[in-house]
Amino acid sequence: MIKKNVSLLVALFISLNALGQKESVPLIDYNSIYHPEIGKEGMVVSQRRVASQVGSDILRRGGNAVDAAVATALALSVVLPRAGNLGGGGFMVIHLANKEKTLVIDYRERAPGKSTRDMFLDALGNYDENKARNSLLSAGVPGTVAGLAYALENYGSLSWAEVIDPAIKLAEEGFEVSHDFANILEIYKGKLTNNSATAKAYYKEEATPYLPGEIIKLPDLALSLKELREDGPRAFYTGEIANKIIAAMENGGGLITQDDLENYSVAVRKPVEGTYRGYKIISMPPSSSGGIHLIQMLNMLEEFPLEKMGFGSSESIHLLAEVMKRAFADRSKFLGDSDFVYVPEEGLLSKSYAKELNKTIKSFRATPSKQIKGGDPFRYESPDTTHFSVMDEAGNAVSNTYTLNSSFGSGIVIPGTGILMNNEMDDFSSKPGVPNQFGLVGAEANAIEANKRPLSSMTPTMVFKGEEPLLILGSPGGPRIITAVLQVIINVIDHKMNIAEAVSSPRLHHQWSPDILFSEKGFSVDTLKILEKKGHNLLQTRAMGSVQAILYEGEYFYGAADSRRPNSGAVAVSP
Amino acid sequence: MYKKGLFTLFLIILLNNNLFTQTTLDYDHRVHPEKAKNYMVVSQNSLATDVGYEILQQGGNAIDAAVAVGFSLAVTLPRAGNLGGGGFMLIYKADSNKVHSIDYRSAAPNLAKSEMYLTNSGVKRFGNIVNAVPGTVAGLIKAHKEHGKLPLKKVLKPSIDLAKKGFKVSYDLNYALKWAKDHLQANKVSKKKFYINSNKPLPVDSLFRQPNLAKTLSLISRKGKKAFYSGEIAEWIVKDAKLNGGLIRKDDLASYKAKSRTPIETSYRGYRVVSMPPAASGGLVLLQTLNILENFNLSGLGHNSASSLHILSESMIRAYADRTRFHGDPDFYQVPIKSLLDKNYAKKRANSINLSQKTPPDEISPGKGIQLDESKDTTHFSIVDSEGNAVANTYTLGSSFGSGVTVPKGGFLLNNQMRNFSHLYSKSEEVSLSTSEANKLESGKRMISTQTPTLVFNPEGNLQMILGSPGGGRIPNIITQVISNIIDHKLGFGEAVISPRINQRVKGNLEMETGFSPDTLSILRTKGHVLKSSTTMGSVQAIFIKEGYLYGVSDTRRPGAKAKGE
Repeated sequence: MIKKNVSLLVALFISLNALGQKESVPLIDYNSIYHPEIGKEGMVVSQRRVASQVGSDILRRGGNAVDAAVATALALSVVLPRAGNLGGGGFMVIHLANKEKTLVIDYRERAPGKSTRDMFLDALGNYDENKARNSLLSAGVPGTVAGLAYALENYGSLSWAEVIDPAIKLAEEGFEVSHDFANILEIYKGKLTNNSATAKAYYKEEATPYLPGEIIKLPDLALSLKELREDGPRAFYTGEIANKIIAAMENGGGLITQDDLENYSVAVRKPVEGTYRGYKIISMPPSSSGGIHLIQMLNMLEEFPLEKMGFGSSESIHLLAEVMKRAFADRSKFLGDSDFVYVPEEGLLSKSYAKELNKTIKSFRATPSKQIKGGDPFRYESPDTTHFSVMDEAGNAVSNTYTLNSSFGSGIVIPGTGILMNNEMDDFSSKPGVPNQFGLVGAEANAIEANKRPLSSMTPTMVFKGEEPLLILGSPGGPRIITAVLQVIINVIDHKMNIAEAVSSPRLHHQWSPDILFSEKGFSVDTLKILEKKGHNLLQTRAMGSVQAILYEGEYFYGAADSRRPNSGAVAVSP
Repeated sequence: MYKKGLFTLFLIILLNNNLFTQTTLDYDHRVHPEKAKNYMVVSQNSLATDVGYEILQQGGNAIDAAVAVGFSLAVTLPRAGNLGGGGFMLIYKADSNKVHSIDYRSAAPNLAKSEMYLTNSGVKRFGNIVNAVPGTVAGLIKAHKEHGKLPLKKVLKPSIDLAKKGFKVSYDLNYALKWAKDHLQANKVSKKKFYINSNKPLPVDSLFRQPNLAKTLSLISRKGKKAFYSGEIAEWIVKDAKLNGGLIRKDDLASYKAKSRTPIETSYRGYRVVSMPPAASGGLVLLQTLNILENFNLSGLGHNSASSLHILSESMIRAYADRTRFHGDPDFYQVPIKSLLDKNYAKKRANSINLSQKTPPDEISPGKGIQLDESKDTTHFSIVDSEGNAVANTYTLGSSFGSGVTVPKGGFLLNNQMRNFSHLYSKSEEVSLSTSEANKLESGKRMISTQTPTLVFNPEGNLQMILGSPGGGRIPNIITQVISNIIDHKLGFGEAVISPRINQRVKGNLEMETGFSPDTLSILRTKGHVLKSSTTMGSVQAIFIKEGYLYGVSDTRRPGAKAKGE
C-alpha cells in the first residue's frame, strides 16, 4: 500500500518532469509536509486571506493580474493597517505576458520639498528618533495611490470603481478582528492612541482595543475610498483628501505641501536582471537595495553544489552565511536613489565580481565581519512592509511590496480621512557624513534631500524559466527580506522543494553587521554545533519575514502564504 | 549553541538596537494554530470542520459535534470518513472529570476463516470478502445517546444536506480517486459513483452529489442504529454480500455492539496521558514508548538531534516488539495491560538501550515474520466545547476507500479490516504480528488497530492536549513525537505537529520524513541506523489548551484539513 503510493507518486513526478511539465496534472506531493494551494485559472497570495479573496474575485470576473493587484492592495489598506496603505509607498513589478515585458513601478514616498539633510538632528547634533518616527515630519509624500492608479490606467482592464468597491465594502461594513489584529492594537496602543484621529479610527471609546471576533468598521477610510472611486488619484493629490493632508501638515508641523502632492510622480524603472542556474531573475533596482544584492548572492551561490550539500546542512548554512555577509557589506557601502546617486550596479551584478568574492570564502572557517569591508549598515529599513503576489490565467503577473515603514507608519491618521501616514523619512540615513561605531563614513548615498526617495530593501521578485514566469515572490522584514527571498528561490531551484515547503522551511539571516548568524527554530542542534565550531556567532531568533509566493508550472498555479504571520492566505481562482 | 535567556535578549537589544526597536509584530513560531476562547473543531476536511462548528454554535456539546463530524466526514472524505468502517472515541466529560471510551472497531463475521484471506502473495486486500462488520454507526449513535444534547435529527442534518446538495470536488479528492482507481473501479457501484465517462475521476470543482448516501443518512436520522443493523440498510449490505462473495450476514449485524471500555493511562514527566485500550493497540504502544523515554533527558539532547532521535527510535522498537505478542481483542484474549505499562519494566527496557549504537532487532524480539501492512488511511478529529468537554476520535475504512466496495442503494463504502487479523497464526513458527495468537481470527472478534486517540492532562490535572492521527502502524510513534515535542522540547503547538517525524518499528529501517539536517542523518548512520526517506507520516488533528485559550492545529501533511474555533 505505502509502497504503491510512493512508486505511483514517483512515477507521476518523473512523467511530469520528463514531459517538461506538459501533462496537465497538478502535482500533489505527499513527500512534503507542506502543500500549496492549487489553481488553474489564477492565484492571489497576500498577508490577509480576505484581501486575497478580493483579488481572486476580480480575476474570476475577468480582471487581469494588475486589476487584481490593485484591488488587493486597496483591500489590504483596510484590513492590514500596519502595512497595507494609502498613505505610504512601495514597488510593483509587473510582467505582461503578451508583450513579454517586465517593468517596475517605483511608487516609493519622496522627501517633501522642504526637507533638509539635518532635519532630524537636535541642537546637539543627535538624531531625534521620536521626531523621525512618530511625527508628521516623518511623513514622506505618499506614493501608493499614484502607483496603483498608474498601474491600473496603463496595464489594467477594469475601472477604478470596480477595483475599489470591495475595499469600500470592507471599510464600510467592517471586518472581523482576528487574534493577531487585536494583539497588535493592544501592543501599539500607546503609539496609536497618542493621536486622536488614530484612536478614533482603530479603538473603541476611551481607547479600548477591539476584541477578537468583534467587527471593526472604518467609516472615514470608506469615505476616502469613495472619493477615490469618484475622482481617481486626483482626490488624493489635488482634491478633498489632499486638502485634509495639507491642513494636517500645517497644523501639526509637517512639511508636505500642495506642491509636493501635485508634483508627486511614480518612476517607471527597468528591473535588474540576473541569471541563476539557467533561470532568469528579475528584481528591484535602486532605490531598493534588494534586487542587486539578491542577484549578487545568487551569482556567488551558483558556483557551489548547494543541492548536494542539502537543505539545512552545516555546509550549506555556512556557505549562505558567508555569502550574505559579503553582500551585506557591499550593501552598506553603496546604494541610494538612483535618480540622485551613482550606484555601481554593473559591477555588483557581474558574475566575475561574484567569483572574486567567492575566493575569500573559507569552507572550514567563518570570516569575521570586521575582516570584510563595508559601510554604515544602519537605517535602511522599512520594518513592516507587506508583500502580495498575483498571477492571472493569461500569464500576467504582479509582485508587489509596499509599506508605511514602521508598523502603522507614523501612527498618525489624517483627520477626516481614516488614512494612516507613513514615517518613511526615517528610512534616510540618520547622520550622514558622521563616522559610525565602526569608524566608517558611509550612508552619504542615503542622505535626506528634497524630493529624493529613501533607500529600501523591498524585494518584489520574479523568476523566469525561459520566457514564462516560474516564481513570483517577496516578503516583509527589512534586511531579512532579501535573505528570505534568496532562500525561497534556492529552496525551489536547488533543493527541489514544492513552493509551500520552500516558504515554510526554517530560514537564517546574516547581514554582516552585527556579526551574528540568526537562525529560526527548526534547524538541527547537530548542525548548529558544527557551525559554532566553524566560528559562527549563532543566535536563535523569532520568525523572519512572511513570504507570499506563487509558483507557476505545468499550467497550474501553486500558491503559498507564509505561516509565519497569522491570517495570510493563498486563494485560487475557482470557476 | 544557542545562548538562551536574558543574556540573549540583552545581546539583541544591544547589538541590534536600530534594527529591533521599531519592532514589528514578529512571532516566536513559524506556524500558528487557530486560537479561540470557547470551542474548537479540528478535522481532516474543512467542510466537516464547519459542520462541527455549526453544531457547537447551535448549542450542541462536543459529543454532538463529534457525531456530526463523524457522519459528515463519511460524505466529504470518502477515503477514510465512513459509515462502513469502525474506530475509537475518547470522551472527556468536564463535569465529572472522567474519560470514557467507546470501542466501535469492526468485527469478524461468523463465516470468516483465515484460509479465505491468504493468497500466495499475502493477504487479500479488496472486494466483499475483506469486509468486517461495520461499527461506526453503532459507535456514533452510542456516543450520542449516552452523552449528546441535541436531537439526533439535528446532528445529522448538515451531513444529509452535504450529501444531497453536494460539494465541490477538491484537487485532493480528485487525486485520491485517480490514485485508488484500480480497486474502486473493480466495484461497479463505486465506479459509477466516483468516476465519469467510465474511468475519469470526478473533475476538480465539479459538484459531487450523493443521493443514495443522503437516503442512508436520513434513515439513520429517523430510525437510529436499527436502520443500519437490522433494517433496510442491513438488508442492502447482506444482499450485496451474498451476491458478491461477502461474509456479512443478518446475525453479524444484529449482534454488533459498540462497547464502553476503561481507558488506559500512564504518567509522563508528571503529565497524565490517557489513550484507547485494546482492541486498539496503538494506545499501549504509545504509553509503553513514553514510559521508556521518560528514563532519558530528551530535553537536554535537543529536538530532532541525532542523540534524541536515536533514543526515540530505540524506544519505539522495544514498544512495538511487545505488540507482536500481547495485543488483541480483550474479549477474546487477556492482554497483560498492567505488566506492559509497568514503570519498572520500562526502566529495564530503557537500560537495554545503547546510546551509541543501534541494538540489532533480533536481540529485542526473536521474530522474523512479515509485518502486517496496516490500514494507512484512517482519519482523526478533535473537538472541545465551551463547557470543557472534549472528544478525540479516530476511525477508518482500513485502506484508502476501504475494500473499494460501495453498498448498492446505500451509497457508502465498506471497510477491508478483515486483513488485519493475524491470519498466519499456527501456520508458521515465526513470532510476528502476522502469527500472533492474541490477534488470531475468531468469529465476532475485533482485529487490533494502531488507532490512538489520546488525551493529555497537565501536572495540575487539567486537560491540555486532545489529539490523534491516521498513519497505520506509525500512529503511536507519531503521537509520541508530538507529545514529546511539547513536554520535552517546549515547541509551539503548531511546530510540535508540523516538525519532521521519524518512524521505527520492529523490523525495517529508520524511516525519516524530509526536513532533517544531513548532519543529523550522518550521525545516525554512525550509530548503525539504516535510513530510509519516507512519504509524510500521518496527519495530526489536535487541540491544545493553555491559559484559557484553545489552540487548534490541523496538520499540513495532507491538504484540506481545517481548525475552526470561536
